[in-house]
Amino acid sequence: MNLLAWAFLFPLPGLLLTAFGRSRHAGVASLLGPIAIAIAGLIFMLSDHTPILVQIDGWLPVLPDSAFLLRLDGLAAVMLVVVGGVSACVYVYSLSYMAGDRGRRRFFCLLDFFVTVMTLLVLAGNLVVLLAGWAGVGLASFLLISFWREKSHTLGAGLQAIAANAIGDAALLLAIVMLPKGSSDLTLLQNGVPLVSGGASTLATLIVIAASAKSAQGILYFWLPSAMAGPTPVSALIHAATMVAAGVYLLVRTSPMLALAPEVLHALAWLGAITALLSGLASLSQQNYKRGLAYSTCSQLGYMFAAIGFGAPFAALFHLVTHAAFKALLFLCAGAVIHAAHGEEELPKLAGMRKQLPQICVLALIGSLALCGLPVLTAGAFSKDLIIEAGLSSSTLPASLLVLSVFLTGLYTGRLYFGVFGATTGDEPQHDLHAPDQLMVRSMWPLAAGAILLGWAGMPLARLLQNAPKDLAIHAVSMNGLLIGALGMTGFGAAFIWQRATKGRARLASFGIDWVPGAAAASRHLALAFAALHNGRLGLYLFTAVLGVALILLMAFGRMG
Amino acid sequence: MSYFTGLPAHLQSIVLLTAAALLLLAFGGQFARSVRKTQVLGILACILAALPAWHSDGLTAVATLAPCALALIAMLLLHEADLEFFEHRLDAAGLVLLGAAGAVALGNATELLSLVLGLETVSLVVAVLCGLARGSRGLEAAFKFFVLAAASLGVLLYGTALHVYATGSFSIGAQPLASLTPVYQAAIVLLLLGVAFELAVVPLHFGALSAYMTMPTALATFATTVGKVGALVALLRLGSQLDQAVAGPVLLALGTGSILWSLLGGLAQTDLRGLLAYSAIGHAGFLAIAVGCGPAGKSAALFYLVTYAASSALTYAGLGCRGTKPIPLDSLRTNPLSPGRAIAVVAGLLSLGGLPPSPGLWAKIGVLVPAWQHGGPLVACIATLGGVLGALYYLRPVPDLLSSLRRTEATSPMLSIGALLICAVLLVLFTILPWMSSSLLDLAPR
Repeated sequence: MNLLAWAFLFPLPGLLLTAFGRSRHAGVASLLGPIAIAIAGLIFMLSDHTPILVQIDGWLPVLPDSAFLLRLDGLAAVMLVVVGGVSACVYVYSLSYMAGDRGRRRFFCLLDFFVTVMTLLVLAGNLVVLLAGWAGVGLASFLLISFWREKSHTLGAGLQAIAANAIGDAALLLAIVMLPKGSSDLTLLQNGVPLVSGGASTLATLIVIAASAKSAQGILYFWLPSAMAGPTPVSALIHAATMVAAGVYLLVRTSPMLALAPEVLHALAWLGAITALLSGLASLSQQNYKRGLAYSTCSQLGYMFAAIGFGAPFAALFHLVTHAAFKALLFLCAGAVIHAAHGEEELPKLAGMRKQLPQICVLALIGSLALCGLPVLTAGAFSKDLIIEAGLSSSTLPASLLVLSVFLTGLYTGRLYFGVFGATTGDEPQHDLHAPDQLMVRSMWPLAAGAILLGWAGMPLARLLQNAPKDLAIHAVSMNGLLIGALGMTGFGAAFIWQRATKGRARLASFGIDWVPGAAAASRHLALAFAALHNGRLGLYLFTAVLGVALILLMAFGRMG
Repeated sequence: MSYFTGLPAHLQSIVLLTAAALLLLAFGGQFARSVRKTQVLGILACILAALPAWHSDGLTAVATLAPCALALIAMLLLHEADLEFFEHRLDAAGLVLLGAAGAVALGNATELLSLVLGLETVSLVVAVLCGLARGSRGLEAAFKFFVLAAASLGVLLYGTALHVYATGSFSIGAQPLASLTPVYQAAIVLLLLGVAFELAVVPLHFGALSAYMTMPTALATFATTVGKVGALVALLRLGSQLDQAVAGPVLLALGTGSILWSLLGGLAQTDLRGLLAYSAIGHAGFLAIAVGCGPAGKSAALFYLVTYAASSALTYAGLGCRGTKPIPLDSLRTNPLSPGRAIAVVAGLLSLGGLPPSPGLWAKIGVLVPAWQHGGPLVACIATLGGVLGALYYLRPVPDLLSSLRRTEATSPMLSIGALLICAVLLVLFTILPWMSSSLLDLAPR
């Protein structure tokens, strides 16, 4: 059983075979990795649920806690199944999607690298190992966003992701260096709280900052919509289902420590609720199909953050699982549509796809209804209901923002769905569509099944987790659930009317202040100013050196008194 | 012979390296007409010079083995050095060995005259190596480096004079007369600043920046790293003797300043050479912080040093064939490296940037822990931000390097492949088994 805790190594044989193999079907071998990871998770679920620990003491002697620690428990097993399952679908999809791409081999190698580090993140037993996976997924994300280097904006989009992730990495690094010896185990962070300056609040704040950066929450939202510059399978796997959920995973994993800082939890609830609302509104103003979905991801991650703020980490994890299925499905559908339209991503030019892509239309409908939370029939309804129920019983105001967001969710989902599969606008190009092949379509059906059925997996999931509430009940039909579902479906219906009224051009005017370009320009000017000091003038160099030495001497003499 | 074997290990290494250097510089043309023969002679000298220090204690081992290893890498890449005249490769080989001897002397110095001698040898070697580069840029950079090195030597000598005045001795660690304690402390600060020039920390970094940007890539690892090895170990030796209350804040200030400067300057670079030069300044900052934390930072500093040396060597070895010309970042796709070299550069850049999977991440965490505990939150926060935001410039060339992997059929000479393999194996070992480097050097905190 100890072998299961080393599941992060499972993609490596596939990576090597893909990198050095001569097969014309590069990437097929890579498929073994995610399947093996999902199976590892399932084996644990079917066992007696005793956590598996792997500990190598003295691995990194420069740290107070020098062990390399892996932990496979119920939470990690659930994540393994999510990562492995969604990855496997995305890999199969990509075999068709990337078939004609010259960089196909590199693409699968990078995907393998991502799955490896994501699995390491999930299996990490202490903060140092977690950081390796955490920074690793950020790196993989950057490399995949900027995969198509011939497109001019991909590098900038990748660097935006790195910039946001760097803030999170810094927070996590500080948490590592602050923690005293014996408390960097992820399940024992609370033990180190008394010895940390600032106590639980400081540590919890750092963890929340790290999670916000990875999950594009609050002002750190900006990188996720830009990340859509990468290939669509990457958007489905990394920027919808797995990596962006790592922030939520970290919060769930460290929830016993977070519980010691109620003020941080309260702020977290507000952060999630506001992000859910504003991202929903932002999605309504997007012209680009994938960017619309990206804002939707920010919004749904906001629900998960709020759930943790409400003190309901299980609800957050449950929504993470269901969201992974339906959002990955929606992205893969978007990829099929964009693939069919020869790379076109603007909504008015994609209209009228219902007749040309009937199977995709059905699949997208399943994903959309799950996102809106159609009660009983879709998984999203179960998990969203649980979050809002937890919110209404603990923090009414943020919870009411979430209720409002439910309507917005229906509205933006409907706008995207009817914008693509509704009536034609007359703007769409008059060329032959590149219809998706059966491999591509079949890879989406497991996700569609998940989007429908995973809601019923709530109770078995709860039994796997040690800190799930004992009195937890997940209802298929409840008054709250029905009302919330109705609200979501009302939004979906309203979008249909809106799209019809505007002849497929429904769109909210852009709003808000985009602080990112200003910050980027300011840092560029500052960097150029510094670099300009290295201008070849020896006199300036000598002057700077002498001035610096004088200042250092003054400082030293000041200290000497 | 018995007199030779009776010498301390580091002195044996210095004698061997100096003898080989003089042999090459004085008589090289007689018996080593080809670069290959020069390389073989140089490699043998490096291996022989490393042997006496093999069983030494941690600091002596690092101070002796690391310069020998760096000289070995430089020898393996010597045929790729883009110099003004072909014959200068022989001179370069001699200079590399001499520079290694200087670094060994600097790192093992227990009294101030050896310190000055070692430091000046390394500085002169770097200046001359820079001047040998093809084109006029190298000469200009060598001159600037030389002038700034002379200024720092002045600081060092002044510190030495004050030290001798206060203690009556050249010996590092000699105690001052009670009435002369302020003079002694001033001497300490001046000595630190003098040695810090070799580390290339702000504000003493401009000469190094110019030199690193124009040095032939094949020799750049040696030039950027060998001085740091000697200076760091010298600082660690000095630090253990000096008043931490005075030395610590000075080094922490130099370190944080270097990290900030490197971050801001690095972001503006559009040339890979410039990027790596600014990177060297940032890494010097991390080293200074580790030393500034006193005994608690010793293990971290040494681990950081060996990791940085291996990462930098791998990066420059990958770029070895690029001579002395600028390497614009946007040219990497149109003028790609061979796949092996591109992968080496990517691995090196990831490690320099402290990104996984690389030992650079472990090394940075190792420094940040003592920085938080002994340097305080401000130093730790600046170092952390500088460390993670550095990824913004380290990663810029990576997509281009990876996307051009298939586009060239250029092959590399065997010796270059040897250099790449040595660095890559070290990096992989440090990544998977970071404890190994610590155990080998007997650095684990007790």
